[in-house]
Order: sequence, then C-alpha cells, then structure tokens
Amino acid sequence: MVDVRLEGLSKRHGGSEILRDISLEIGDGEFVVLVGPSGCGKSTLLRLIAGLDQVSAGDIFMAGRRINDLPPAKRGIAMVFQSYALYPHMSARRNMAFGLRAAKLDRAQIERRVDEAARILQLEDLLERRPAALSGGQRQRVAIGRAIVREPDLFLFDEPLSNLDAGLRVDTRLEIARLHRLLKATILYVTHDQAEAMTLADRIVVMNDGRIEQTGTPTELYAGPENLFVAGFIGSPKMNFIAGAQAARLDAATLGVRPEHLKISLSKGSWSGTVQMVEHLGSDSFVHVECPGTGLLVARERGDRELAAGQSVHLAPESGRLLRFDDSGKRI
Amino acid sequence: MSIALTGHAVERGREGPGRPPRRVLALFLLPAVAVYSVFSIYPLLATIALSTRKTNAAGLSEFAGLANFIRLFFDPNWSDAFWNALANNTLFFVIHMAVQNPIAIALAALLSLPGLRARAFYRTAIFLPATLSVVIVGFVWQLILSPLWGVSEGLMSAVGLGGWFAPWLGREGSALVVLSLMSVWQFVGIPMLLIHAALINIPDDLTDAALVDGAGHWRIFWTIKLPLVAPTIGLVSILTFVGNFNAFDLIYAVKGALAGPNFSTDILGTFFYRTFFGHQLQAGDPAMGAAVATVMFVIILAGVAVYLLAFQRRLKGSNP
Ligand SMILES: Nc1ncnc2c1ncn2[C@@H]1O[C@H](COP(=O)(O)OP(=O)(O)OP(=O)(O)O)[C@@H](O)[C@H]1O
Ligand SMILES: [Mg+2]
Repeated sequence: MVDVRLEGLSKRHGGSEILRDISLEIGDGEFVVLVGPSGCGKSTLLRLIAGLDQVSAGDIFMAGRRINDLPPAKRGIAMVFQSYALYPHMSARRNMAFGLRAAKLDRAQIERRVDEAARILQLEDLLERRPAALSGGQRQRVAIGRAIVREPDLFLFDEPLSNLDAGLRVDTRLEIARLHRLLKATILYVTHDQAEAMTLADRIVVMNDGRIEQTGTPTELYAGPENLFVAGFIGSPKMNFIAGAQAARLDAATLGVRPEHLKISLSKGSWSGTVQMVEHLGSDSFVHVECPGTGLLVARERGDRELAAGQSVHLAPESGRLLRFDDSGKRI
Repeated sequence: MSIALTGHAVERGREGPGRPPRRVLALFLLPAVAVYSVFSIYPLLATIALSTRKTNAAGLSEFAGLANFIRLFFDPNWSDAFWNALANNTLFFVIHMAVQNPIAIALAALLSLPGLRARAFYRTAIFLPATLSVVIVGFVWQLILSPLWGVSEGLMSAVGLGGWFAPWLGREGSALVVLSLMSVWQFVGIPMLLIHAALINIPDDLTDAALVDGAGHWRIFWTIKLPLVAPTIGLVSILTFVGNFNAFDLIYAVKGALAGPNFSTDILGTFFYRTFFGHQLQAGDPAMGAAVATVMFVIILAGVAVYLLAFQRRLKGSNP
C-alpha cells in the first residue's frame, strides 16, 4: 500500500474544463470518499488516476513516484466500475483471474489468490457461473474480488453500490468497511450516498463543478462546513438556510442551522410558524414548519412527540449551533 | 384491451378474453403462409419429387426411387463430374472462410480504432464492391488479370515481380483459387460491417476494466473482443456457407457453364445448370438436375443444422 498525491490536476475535454486544479493527498491505508453532485467530475478524476485518460495539467504521484506517463497496467491500481464491467463470456473465476493471467502469475498462485478472495467475499459456490447467472449483489462481489486478487496499491471504486437495493447496499457497505480493515488498503471511493460517505470514510472530499470544495473527516465536514455548498450538501435532511434581514442582524448574508439543532417549543422561540407536515421515520420525525418572513424550516424531533399539521409552534436554535456565511458563501 | 388488465382475465390465462380468437390469428397468418407455401415449400417438394423420376424408353416419366442418386454418386459418367464439383465447391468455401473472415475481422478492428479519421470513407469504400453486379466484378478482374491486355503483369514488372506473373485464371491449378479470391474481394465488406457493428457494441467499460487489470491491447482483442463477436463470426460463416454452396453467377460470368479450364472451376451450381438445362452437346435432364438440386439442399440443410445445434446452443448456454 502506498500514499497518493495529486498536484494541480486539470482536465479539459474540447473547450470545457472538467477538472480544475485538484490537489489532494491520500495517506497510506486511508479510506477517502469523494462526493459531489452528478457531473462534477468524480469519474473523470478516477479515470485520470487509473491512467485511462491523460491529464491536461498537473501531476500524479504514487509512493513519491510520478506516474503521469505510466500506462494503466503499470500503475498497480485496481478499479471497480459502476457497471461492474464483468467480462460476460467468462465465469466468475476467470473474471477474477483475468488480471493475474495478464500478469503471467503461475497457475497455483492464481488459484490460491482467487480462492482466497472468493472465501473473503463468500463467492465460493458461484465461481463457475457467468455474470449473467449472478444477482446484482453477487456481480458486485465478483467485481470487488477481481480488484482484490491483484493485491493493488490503490483501489478505486466508482459508485460501486448504486445499482443495489437499499438492504443489499447496507450489507455491502459493511462488507467494504470490513475489507478495508482486513486488507489495510488505500481506497478512493466515489459515491452519491451520504450514509455511505459518512460511515466508510476516514476523510471525505466534497467536489463541485470540477473543484474540491472541502476535505475533512466526516465529523469535521458535518460540524464545520467551510462554505454554503458543503453545508447544504452534507447532511440529510438539508441544513436550513435563512437569508435577509435576520441574517444581516448577525452580520451575515446567510444563516445555517441543522434540523437537529432546532428546538420546537409551544410557548416561545426565535421564529414562530405553523406546522405544514410531519414526516415520521419511527425513531425521529422531520417537522416542516412554515415561518412567515423566514421561510420553511425543518426541525428534527423525537419520534414520539405528538405534533400535527396546522399547529402553531415556535422554533429556536440551540446555542452556538447557528452557522454564519458571508455573501460569497464562505463561513464566517 | 382494458379487460386484459383485470385480475379476472389474468386468471383465465392464455385463452382469456384479451387474446383474439384463433380464427382471427389464422386470418393474419394466412398471407405469409400462402406466399411461403407457393414460392418455397411447393417448389422444394416438387424438386424432391422430380428427383425420384426418370424418363423411360417410351418417353414417359416413371417413378425411379433413388436410382438418380445412385447414378449421381456411383455411375462414373455422372459421379466423376459430381465429386469434382463437390470438391471444388468445398475448396471454394474453405478459401472464403480462411481468407474472408480474418480479413473482415482485421478490417473491422481497424475501423473501430479510436481516433481513426475518415472512418465513413473507408467503410463505404470497402463495402462498395458488394453493391456491384457479379458480372461486372468478374469482367473487371478478367481484364485486370488478362495476360494479353491486363494491367497486372505490367504492375508486377514495375516492382520487379514480373517473373512471378502467370495467367492464373487460365490455369487448372489456380483458376478456382483466383475466382474464390475475387469473390472474397467483392463481399468482404459485408462481414466487415457486421463484425464492426458487433465490436462497437462492446461496452467501453469492459476494455477500460481490462486495461486497468493490466491487459495490453493485443490481449484484450484476443480474450475479450474476439470471444464477444464470436456469435457474429458464426453468423457470417453460415451465411458464407449457404452463399458458397448456392454460388453460380461468378463462375458462369467468368468461365461460362463449362467452368473451365477442364472443369477445374466447376462447382455444384454450374454442374446443376448443365445437368438440368443441358449445355452444348449435353442434353438437359430435369430429373437428374432435380437430384443434384436435392443434394445441394441436403448439404446446406446439414450445415445450417450443425450451426444451429452447435453454435446457437452454446450462445444460449452463455446467456441463460
Ligand atoms: N469524453 C468527454 N467529452 C466531453 N465531456 C465529458 C467527457 N466525459 C465526461 N465529460 C463531462 O465531464 C463532466 C464530469 O463527468 P464525470 O463523469 O466525471 O461526472 P461524475 O461526477 O462522475 O458524475 P456522476 O455522479 O453522474 O457519475 C460532465 O459534465 C461530463 O459531461
Ligand atoms: Mg460518475
């Protein structure tokens, strides 16, 4: 396993700049998750690191060595694609052995590594099947198996769980977390899913429009977003934003407060309004309150609190939980 | 049709009220079945029936059982020509398979290279001969290869290969090979297009995954792309097989019905033509001709059956 360093990476396709000045360091054995809206360049970044596309500017280092000009085969990187990209005419075993055969390993060693990976991923009974005869989750595991048998220095995952149903997603997420501990692998992982990002990551990188907005541990990003984009992107339901005169009174352009930091009171509070809707999730409820002059605020409440649409309530932020942002969206 | 959507109709299953009655189905099938019967089934059966008859001394047609076939296979008057035509036809097919498929695959692979310029031009240019008449192709190549006024001897001399030139089309040993290559030249565009279409249908992700897995382009071609276009190659092969064992026009256009020199380019199509219609001193014999046609039909049927059983079943096995 090695550390990876990106310095000022840029990528342009035709006239449009898809990645701008991306710099990032990934420590040895670190699990870094890349999040960002669709089209912000996450896959493009992975392809640059894997060597499938050439960078327009900047450098990529692995273990201190510049690898810009190495072909994909020589980089010691394994990639798991969103579509799995399993070879349809080969059995699961042959799929997993493909890279090892290309590397001209001897037969016994290939056999041993494939069996070992199959054991870790619980694929032993499925090795002779072709991808068409496997379920989505099983294909997914074969794709991961194909990556781990090569014992690469770096794993790249491009939204590997997005084709799975919710239950399987949670299982596979735990599986990947377990693999990371077991293999002590360096991993760069792309996802759209908040829960995946928060639970898996040692560090999260938030991207937007070809740039890195902020990098930090999940708790850092959650508690201390540096700008409006990160504040709004991380956390579900989204952070409440309040602009206008109320923000100006606190010397800010926008105020932000997370739903769980808004207290609902029947008697007093900073904002008063009417309950529009209550979303019951069991343990919690999301209470949508329309506050005249402020807008719609969402508060998170314990699930057993009885609130009904049409009720008049007051909302107040917990002390010290109000975030302030200036006109450019930067946190103050 | 809304009835078909209710649970009630679903319970009744296939005979439910949502399905049109059988009489209506029969009505819609009738035109196709009628045309197919009149123009395909009937002539086929009539040919087979005709192959079992012969003309007796009184000039009347009578049932002869398999006598025509026995004559065809064993009577030296017929069998020499028949086995010669069958052997030539087999060689004709083998040359097509051995030359046309590799060239078509190579051209298709070149056509699907990323970053190739003027792709449409190459594709059209290579496909163009397939749109020409066989007669024109035969005539043009005859002109090119002619030892009297052809350009090939001059061209070969110009690059120092003049000594290698021979009137290939006129020699017993090479005429059939040259004719096969002419046919390959004409039709290679069709398999090329089919294989090209199959190649560009392979998702880019697969090649990307293989590249990251450490495979080179050569290995990716052999282990990923070629196996994935194998069904198309199988299809091309069976089309070639059917086309080759039904071939007639090119030989007739270049060599005439006698398929010279000395029958060295005689294939089943030309043999059938002389047998059925007669040629010069040979009188036409419709019953023998029908026997030859029946043998051709059986050969093609056998080839297609092998293809369907072997190839299609393997395909099904891969996508259950
Ligand atoms: N070959 C290309 N030519 C031109 N533009 C491209 C090309 N490939 C990608 N792009 C553009 O680059 C941008 C980033 O694409 P990319 O696939 O990296 O997004 P992404 O962050 O992975 O999105 P998603 O989450 O939807 O997968 C997109 O706007 C896309 O249109
Ligand atoms: Mg993507």
